[in-house]
Amino acid sequence: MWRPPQKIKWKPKPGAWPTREEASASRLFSPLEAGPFRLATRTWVPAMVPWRATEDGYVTDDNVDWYARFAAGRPGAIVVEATGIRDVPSGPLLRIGHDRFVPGLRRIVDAVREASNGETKVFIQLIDFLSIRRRPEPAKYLGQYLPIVERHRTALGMSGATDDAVRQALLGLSDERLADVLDEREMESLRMGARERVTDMHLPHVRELPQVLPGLFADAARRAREAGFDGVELHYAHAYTMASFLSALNTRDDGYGGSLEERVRLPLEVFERVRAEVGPDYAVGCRFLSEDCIPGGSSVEDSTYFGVAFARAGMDFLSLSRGGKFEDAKQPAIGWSAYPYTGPSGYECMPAHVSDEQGPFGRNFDPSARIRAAVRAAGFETPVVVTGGVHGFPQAEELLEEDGADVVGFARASLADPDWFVKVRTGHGKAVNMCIYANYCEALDERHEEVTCQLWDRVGLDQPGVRLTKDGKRRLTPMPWVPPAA
Amino acid sequence: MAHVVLESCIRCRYTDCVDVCPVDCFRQGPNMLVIDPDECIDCAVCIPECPVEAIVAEEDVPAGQEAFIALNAELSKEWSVITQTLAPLGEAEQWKDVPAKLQYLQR
Repeated sequence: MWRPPQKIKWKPKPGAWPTREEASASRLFSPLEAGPFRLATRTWVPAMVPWRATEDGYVTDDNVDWYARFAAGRPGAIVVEATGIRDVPSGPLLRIGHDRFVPGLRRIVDAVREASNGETKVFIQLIDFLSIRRRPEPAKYLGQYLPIVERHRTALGMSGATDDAVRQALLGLSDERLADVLDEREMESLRMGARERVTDMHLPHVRELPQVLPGLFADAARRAREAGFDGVELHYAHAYTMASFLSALNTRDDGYGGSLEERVRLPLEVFERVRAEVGPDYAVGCRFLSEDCIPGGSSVEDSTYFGVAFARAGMDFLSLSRGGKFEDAKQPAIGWSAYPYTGPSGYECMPAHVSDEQGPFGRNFDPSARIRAAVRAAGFETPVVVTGGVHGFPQAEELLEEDGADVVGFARASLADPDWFVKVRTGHGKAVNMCIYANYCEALDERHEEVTCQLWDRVGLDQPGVRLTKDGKRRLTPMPWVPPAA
Repeated sequence: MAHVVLESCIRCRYTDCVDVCPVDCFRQGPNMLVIDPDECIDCAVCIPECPVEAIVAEEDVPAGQEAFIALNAELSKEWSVITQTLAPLGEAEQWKDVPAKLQYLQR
């Protein structure tokens, strides 16, 4: 996990908690109505993958419990975790790539409605991603996986040698010498695990993404609507396919890469197909990056252009994140995959309490405000959701008052305490279990272990009916909150 | 900045801490564990797990034990990862309250 070299320790400072009256007069707990996008309060739980789906991508009881638990805290909206739009094996990640996934997803919708008494809106995040392989054993990579080509023979001075002979020679080379024989991508596959890019135009399935993705996203959105979700969030952020199209690193030469217009083209075409499928009265928005936060990546100016383009196209909301890319990820251990939150860009996405002078709270505020201002200046009232280290009431209220956002997202703060919203709203802010931003949750996510919070996962394990992690050591949801008697 | 295993671990090595670490940052020596400061995220979940209170945040290292900061950093690069709790060392009970155990550290 990359950390800023300054290593300054930060503690959350939630500030004063409002009384019930102050809360009900606040912007944060006021409703928002913008076409089909209607929230009872301007609070938001962004998509977080808790690793509770089955290996086949189905919803489990644990998924249902998880979202019901968040809904009990009554946020304005919950965005259900990144859910794959293809019907392909993707480990314990939810899928929506076939109609057979709809009944399970409907259970989540029903559970959220029931637990929030119909107050909390529930959206689902739709994702596409390219292939990434685990970091191989060097002997396996050089001995089996690496396709041997003439370039290798030439570099080794072994013209006419068999593939096996070349492999044997490669296996005997030092890392330094290996770097002279293998090209950059081959070295990356050896060091990090092979990773596809949207610029791999020699791969037919990558070349055809612009033809394939609009239909896949549209079918997924139709299923989301059938399952009863209040809307969909197109995942255009972090390290995944759509964000890679938006990135300044996208140099595709087929009209879908290079200039800003070309990079935003597929994201707009996907949105248009989705809109055509679900109609104008259904909330469709996207999550995208205010900045890529990697060398050569998209800048906040680029993202300003994208934000205006999405608003002009008719998206119902824009949700902003930052960083979280593969390009600067840390080398994984052998047998593990690279994780896009381990480098400096990952730090920007999920900054932890050991930080720099700027600290982990609100790193995305300024860039997001610039994007929102540009959207407003272009004449659009599209609501903007901002996240990133929000944990206090004054902090959230100020963000809304100062035109930094229209809706405030609480990811780790709500994972630490899903009752943040109901507690603060009813004058019980002091009872909030405050996130310490240690990123224990992120460490579990990186290992694809069931995500929990250290503040509650070992409390009351012996109570009846408590569901535990597979190893039986942690509870899967926090204890219910009982408001003190008036 | 990280958490640090202090001398009370020596000749006890209870390993309860290992089970709760979300980043697998403990390293196993012959009669002690250390924390790899490059991996530790300062989440502090291990602190209450230790029966002999051997783990503290770097800034809380008591006077006289400062050497353990460098020792954790150094030994973590030599010792291998431990990810599952083991039985404590056989002599753990008799050594758990003994002070000044640095002299018994095996590398």
